[in-house]
Amino acid sequence: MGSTKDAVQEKPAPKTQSRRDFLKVTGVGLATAFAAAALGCISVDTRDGRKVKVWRTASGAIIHDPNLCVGCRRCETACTVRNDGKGSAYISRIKVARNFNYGPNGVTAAYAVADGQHGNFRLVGETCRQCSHPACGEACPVGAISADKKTGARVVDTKRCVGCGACEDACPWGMATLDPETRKSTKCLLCDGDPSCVKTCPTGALAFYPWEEAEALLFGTDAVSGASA
Amino acid sequence: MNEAEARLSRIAAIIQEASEEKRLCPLSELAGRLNDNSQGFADTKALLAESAPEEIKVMRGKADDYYFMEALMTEAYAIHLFRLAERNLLRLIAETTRDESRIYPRPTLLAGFLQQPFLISQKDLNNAVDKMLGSRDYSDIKLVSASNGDKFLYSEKHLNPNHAQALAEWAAVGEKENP
Amino acid sequence: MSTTYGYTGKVLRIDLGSGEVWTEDTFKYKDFIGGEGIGYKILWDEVPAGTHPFDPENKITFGAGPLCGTGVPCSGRTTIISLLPTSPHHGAGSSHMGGYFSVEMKYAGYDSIVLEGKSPKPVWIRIEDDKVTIEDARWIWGKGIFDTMAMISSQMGKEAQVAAIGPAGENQLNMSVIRTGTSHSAGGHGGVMGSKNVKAIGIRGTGSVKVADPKAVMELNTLMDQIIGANNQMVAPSHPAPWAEYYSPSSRWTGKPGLFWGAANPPVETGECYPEDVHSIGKRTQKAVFDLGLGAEKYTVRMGGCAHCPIRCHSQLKVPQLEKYGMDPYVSNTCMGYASPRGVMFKGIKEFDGNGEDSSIVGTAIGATLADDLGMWCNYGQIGRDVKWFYEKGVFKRVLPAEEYASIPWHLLEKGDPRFLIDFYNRVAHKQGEIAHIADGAAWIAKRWGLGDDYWDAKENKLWTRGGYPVHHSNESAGQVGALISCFSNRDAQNHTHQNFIGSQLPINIQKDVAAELFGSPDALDAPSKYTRMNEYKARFVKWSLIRGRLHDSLTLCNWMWPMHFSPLKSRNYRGDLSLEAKYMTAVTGEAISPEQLDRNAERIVTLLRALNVRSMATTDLRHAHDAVNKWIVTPDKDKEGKVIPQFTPGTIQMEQADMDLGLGMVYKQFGWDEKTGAPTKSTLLELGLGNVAADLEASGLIPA
Repeated sequence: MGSTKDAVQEKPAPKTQSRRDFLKVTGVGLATAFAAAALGCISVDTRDGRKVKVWRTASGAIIHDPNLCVGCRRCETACTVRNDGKGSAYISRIKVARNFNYGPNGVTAAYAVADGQHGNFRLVGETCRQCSHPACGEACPVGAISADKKTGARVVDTKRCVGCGACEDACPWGMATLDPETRKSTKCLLCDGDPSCVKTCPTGALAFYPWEEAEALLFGTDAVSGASA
Repeated sequence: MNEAEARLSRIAAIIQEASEEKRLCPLSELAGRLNDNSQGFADTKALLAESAPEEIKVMRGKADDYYFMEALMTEAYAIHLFRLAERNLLRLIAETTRDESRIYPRPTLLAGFLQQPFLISQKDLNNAVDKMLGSRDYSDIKLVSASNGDKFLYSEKHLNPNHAQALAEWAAVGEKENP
Repeated sequence: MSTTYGYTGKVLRIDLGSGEVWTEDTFKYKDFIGGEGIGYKILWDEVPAGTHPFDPENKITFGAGPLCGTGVPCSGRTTIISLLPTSPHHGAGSSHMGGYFSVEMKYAGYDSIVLEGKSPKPVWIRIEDDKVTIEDARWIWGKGIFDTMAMISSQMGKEAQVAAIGPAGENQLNMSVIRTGTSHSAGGHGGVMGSKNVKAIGIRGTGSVKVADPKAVMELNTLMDQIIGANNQMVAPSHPAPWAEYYSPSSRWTGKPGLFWGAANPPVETGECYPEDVHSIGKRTQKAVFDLGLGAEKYTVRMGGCAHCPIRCHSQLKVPQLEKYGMDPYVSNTCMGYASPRGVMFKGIKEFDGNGEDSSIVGTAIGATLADDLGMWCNYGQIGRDVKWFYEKGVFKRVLPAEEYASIPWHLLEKGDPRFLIDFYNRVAHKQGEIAHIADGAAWIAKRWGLGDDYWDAKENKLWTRGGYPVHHSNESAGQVGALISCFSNRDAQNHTHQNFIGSQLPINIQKDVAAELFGSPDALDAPSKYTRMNEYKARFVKWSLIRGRLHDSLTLCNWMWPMHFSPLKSRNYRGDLSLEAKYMTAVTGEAISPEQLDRNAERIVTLLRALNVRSMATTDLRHAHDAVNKWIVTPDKDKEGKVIPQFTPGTIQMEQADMDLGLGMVYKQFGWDEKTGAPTKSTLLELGLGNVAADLEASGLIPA
């Protein structure tokens, strides 16, 4: 191996740059936050009279490593067969297909050397960040998205979901997706703490990280996840 | 836990550690790690012989005895390591060749001995093969070359020359042209 | 419409002449499973005998099966079915591509797409779920496939999956491909697309494939994790490993400590790849070093492959030297895609600037990229053997006009300069000059260039029958088993059922035990290069292989991985599970089906292809007209002193005419075909529910007496 081995770059150690600032909301004490953690999500009144939602932190998030991903997309069907009883790329809660050919930026004149299978082979899969202040949940007009009691994942209650698509419009990462067949929102629910996509990945490119590490990998300055694009 | 049990569990831990590191655990190493004196050495050996758990396997060599955990290492792999540990290159190469000529059957690619787990140097390999081909003990071992220059050994006990030649040619050349 | 499981329930039909687009119910084809089976059924029912592959009356089917799109391991392939231009009787045949096309097609709502007629002008087909349009293609006509895909994706969105032809297909070369992704080529049908004026199909699907019993599918996936091996379902590693009882340097299970994807950033070690570890299945096959040698390790960015397959058999390389040749450095391919340009450069490869210690890899990468961009097919490596024969035997000198001959840079070929490939592939793909007829295929070129028995009967040319196709795991693979399998198609056999069996890399005794369990006797399988005469059990092995080949091309599963004869685990006694196809079918569709029933459905497809051959050759005597092998196969080898090496002695794989004749009869009998001629009998057709086929053949006097 010689030269390539010498050139091994160490994977940067996760550096936590916490954006978990919800405790700083004026008027919300620690006790309230703990209550939120237990209940998933509650609304509290701020000192200046606004109503804000306080979300329990997710237990963690799934991170995709573009350097290890071989693009088999078994994760997508692992997700949807388990959670929807069907194979589908479009509603998969992990998105590999959409950046597969030409990377996150899509086709350019320089496609042959840009990200993607048709370029430099770098596959940028995208996963739900289980955001501290989930735009999907904040936007839902019927309160159908809440933090799961066990995992803290921001999950959709399909019984309450009215299929309006507000979550899809709100998510800055393009993860929440309205299933065109059921008119219900789909987003990552962490499979009750044992994510099906992670279990299926044949190269270990997908891993579930506890929140502190996940946050660093997704949002830190040394973010390694392709999802940080 | 009595003293013998404690000792055995310590021994098992050392053997397991070696197997995890993909190597055999010689009795001499065990004794060293346990700070055995000569009596202790004999005791350890006896203890293992009498009450070693099922998953600990032993291979008895000329110079030493070698232990491994079957759950972590197959006997087939342990045999390679055993032959290496016994430091008899000619025997290592010949026995490996005989096994493969018999089991699969196939001639044995000489360059394979340069790789893990053998890691024999090219010079040592050349010397060993030269010696082997002139030795009465190894008169069944023959050399065959494919048209691309790849060299193979086979045992005439299990493969006839035409058969070995055909298999060598296929492995070295044919297979690559017909993927 | 009620919910359908596995099947989307719709076949998309497009008449390019009228521009009409419609769908029909898939379930009317259910007896033919899907993919290849539906394609042959359509050819039988709708394409009359005597149709030229490039006639508007020919139809071409892009087929997927009920398992495609569900995440069943190795279920990403597309089977393309049409008449084959390389075949001297324009017989029916399938070409296959991996990638992600068929999955997208199913998510758009279609089990198959059938094109018929001919568009008056170049078009491409745009499919976005149920919206199907025929679009002007003049802006992409003439482009290479890579640019074509990018340009179509710029219109449809980056998620689109595209299947396209290059200049070779546009120019209706018999030997041209339809390609999807960066390296998934279906060889043989590019010209059919070109003849219909169709440059490409782009698909975007936001739907799904529904699964009747998701829990059962997930459990079967877990079971598969215990059984699946490496590429070609090889279940022993290439090197002694602490977890393995057996190993073989021929194995494609190359992943090991110290072996890397060297051009990944940071480099990725393939590692120990324990068979129980799901998360290293995709690292088991470091295919670059298998296909191109250890020197390819440092160029390897990663492995790639097809949808929903954990085994990654395509290597993705960054070869910076390609920039010297004006090409982008990223190259993706596998197996013959790499081997065939190396075959064209039969004098070896040496870079022009003398820097190339890795010349062979660089030259191979250049050739693979060019052939893929231009959309050329190699006829399973035949193009290289043909270049060599025609060059060395003076055929080129005789048949090419002097001016053309002089214009070809033979000196580059002589020096091993890979720039020869750039000249050669461009000439042929753009149909420039007489030399382009090399891509007519062996059967046609033999007629055109007056090639005689010496061409057909030369062992080095590897041509199997006068049908013009070469060996593809033929007599070298289990003797008569591979040899006979190669007699029943109209192109290289493309059957890996038997090849994966003997390629397990396990000792012969274990293989023979499994052969005995399956076929009734260990004598069904001979050790490599140590053959015995034909027997009944080998005929059963042939039947099994042909049936499972058609089954996989119809389900659609990859026959380069399936069926699962073996497992890498000693705890399973190295046994795989040969009922997995039926178990998956049951779980996915919700309709219980036994392996026997499923095999019977696939047997129907084998016999339908047989009937198609009777019809297109207009004779029942397929034994002589179709199945007769070239003489070199049944001629004994000679040793260095010129002494004959008799067949069925260790070290020779040559077949014998009487033994082959016997073998053909035995296989015919296995399928219930006429033992004398090899044509399907009326009773067999009726038993298989092919009454209309029997009636058609009877009306044409093509039922054996």
